[in-house]
Amino acid sequence: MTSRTEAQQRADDIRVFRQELGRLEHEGVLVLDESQRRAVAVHHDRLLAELSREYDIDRDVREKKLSLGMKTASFLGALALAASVFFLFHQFWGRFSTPLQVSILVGAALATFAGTLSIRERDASGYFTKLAAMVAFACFVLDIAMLGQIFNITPSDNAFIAWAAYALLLAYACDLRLLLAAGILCFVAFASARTGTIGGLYWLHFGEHPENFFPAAALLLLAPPFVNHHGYTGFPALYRVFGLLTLFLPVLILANWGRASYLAFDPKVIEGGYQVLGFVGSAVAIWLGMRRSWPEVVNTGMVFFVIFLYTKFFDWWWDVMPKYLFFLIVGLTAILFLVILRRLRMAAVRMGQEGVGS
Amino acid sequence: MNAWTRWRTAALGVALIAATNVVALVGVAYNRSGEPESMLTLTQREVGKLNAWGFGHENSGLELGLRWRTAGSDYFGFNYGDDAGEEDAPSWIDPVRLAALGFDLPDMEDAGKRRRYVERQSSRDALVVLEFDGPAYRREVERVRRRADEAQARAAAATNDTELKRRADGARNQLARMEREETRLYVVDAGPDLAPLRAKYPDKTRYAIVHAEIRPTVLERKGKARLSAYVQLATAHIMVPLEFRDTWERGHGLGTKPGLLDVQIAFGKRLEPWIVAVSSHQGSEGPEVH
Repeated sequence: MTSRTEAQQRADDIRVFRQELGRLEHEGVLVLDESQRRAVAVHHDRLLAELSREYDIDRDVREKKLSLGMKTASFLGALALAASVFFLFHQFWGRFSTPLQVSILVGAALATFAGTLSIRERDASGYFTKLAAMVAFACFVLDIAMLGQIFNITPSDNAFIAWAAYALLLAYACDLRLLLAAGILCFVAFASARTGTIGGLYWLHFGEHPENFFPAAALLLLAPPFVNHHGYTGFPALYRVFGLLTLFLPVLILANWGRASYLAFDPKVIEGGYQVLGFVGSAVAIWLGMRRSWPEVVNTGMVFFVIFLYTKFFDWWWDVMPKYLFFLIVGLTAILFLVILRRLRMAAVRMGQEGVGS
Repeated sequence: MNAWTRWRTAALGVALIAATNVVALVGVAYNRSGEPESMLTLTQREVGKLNAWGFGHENSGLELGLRWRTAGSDYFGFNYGDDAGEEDAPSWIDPVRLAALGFDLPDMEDAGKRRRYVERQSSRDALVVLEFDGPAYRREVERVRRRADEAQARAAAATNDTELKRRADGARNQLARMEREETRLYVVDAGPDLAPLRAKYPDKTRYAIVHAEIRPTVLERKGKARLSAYVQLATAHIMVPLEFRDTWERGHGLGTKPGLLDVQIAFGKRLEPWIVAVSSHQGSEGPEVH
């Protein structure tokens, strides 16, 4: 086992196996003799005890529900502590000399980083590590932002790449998807700002042209195959989801607001082109997700396909159609999607069964 | 995590934090090294405390903002202004300067199409020249004085017209404010490079060159479309170090009359500002420039 997620998956598999074995015995399909049953039970009990000791996993449904509450508390606590650090510094910093301000900022960043690594060694559950890592990230963001304010440094996009690097370091060191998301967002901001400055744009206005986000989207979508994510459950999925969001959200904006494009064509032509790109892109995402068994890609592609489709329905029919008819068509379209997806799922199950049979 | 990974992670993290801070602080040291690129001695007419909003009331830091404007404008920029010049007010915004900054200003017959093309362009980085208490300010005072004299003459010619009298009083008050309270800091030029601008404006105690973002626009004044620009200074907020806070707050407490404090601001090699001294007119309490 290399991560808590893998350990939890194994514990869940054991729990499900025990339930199914019980059913098979009750139905008379498979009955283990006493020595086999005892050997399996001893092995599983020892394994569960080991996993529980090392990774603090949930051994049953009740513990799982409690864990969900702990995850929520950990997330909210992390955000609140990060905000508290920010406002604490703001409350008192004006009373310190400049050398003391710099010392506190750098010291806080280093101390919270050391604290996070120390807590990581002792916290099998990961909840306290998440709290500590968020505080460490907040301290580093505050460090750079406040240095800029204290010394009146000209704002630049370089801070984003430093924050991204730090967030990614914490994410991979502590197996935290929340910090991975923070790192990805900082990276997207940096890459998009840099793309904008290549065209002469002032970096802060990179959002005025959504096409600035496309290189960042491409890098995020291409990243998972080139990085070894063994033991980091959920990391590749997060890269893919953020990559698709970074791609499709700008396409959605440009599909409705062609004037924001770099292209020197008529805005209506640009909007039409990006609408087609949106439909084709989301359909490709759904197909690819089903082919590679990436459910997050299928779901994201489906969401954007629906958004693009309903946006077109609105453009075509909202003003000319009675509202009951408009919503009836929207509802019927949703049913059509359900039918198509059900057929695709049945086809996938058939293909799986044929694979097993052969 | 095994021991090797632990130590490698710790080393990477410490190196990242240290390197980022070192880069930032070395940049600051470089900016403040040697002789400043320019040094302006401003007053409370040109610098003011930023208004706290939202959570700003809990911010114990003291930050000042530059008050500046451009010639001919009817309203003032704080750290954001624009030029909406009258026909008789000279403007530094012209197609040649904007083209030098990288903007595309084509000759189009269709005025609406040209306007849309110009305004579609996004902001660009530029260097702007801030002039303190110079010809631009004096021309503005003369322009306001001329308007006040004209308003006075019209009111005198129609003694029963209370509206004309009210406008004459307003123009006179505006002149008084211009002479005693309003900022004397004006944006007078812009360009992509420092050396040519400094060669054109060599007086480092009157002209500061700073980073800004500029975006062209088209304004309509009296039925005429005029090329203009939005300007936003990159570092118009300046932190007040602890050693000068008492002097500033004492100077503020003496009343609302501006001009009782001198704030000496240096602009360094990276054109980033810092406060060198804050002194009242009773005597200087600032340290030596370094």
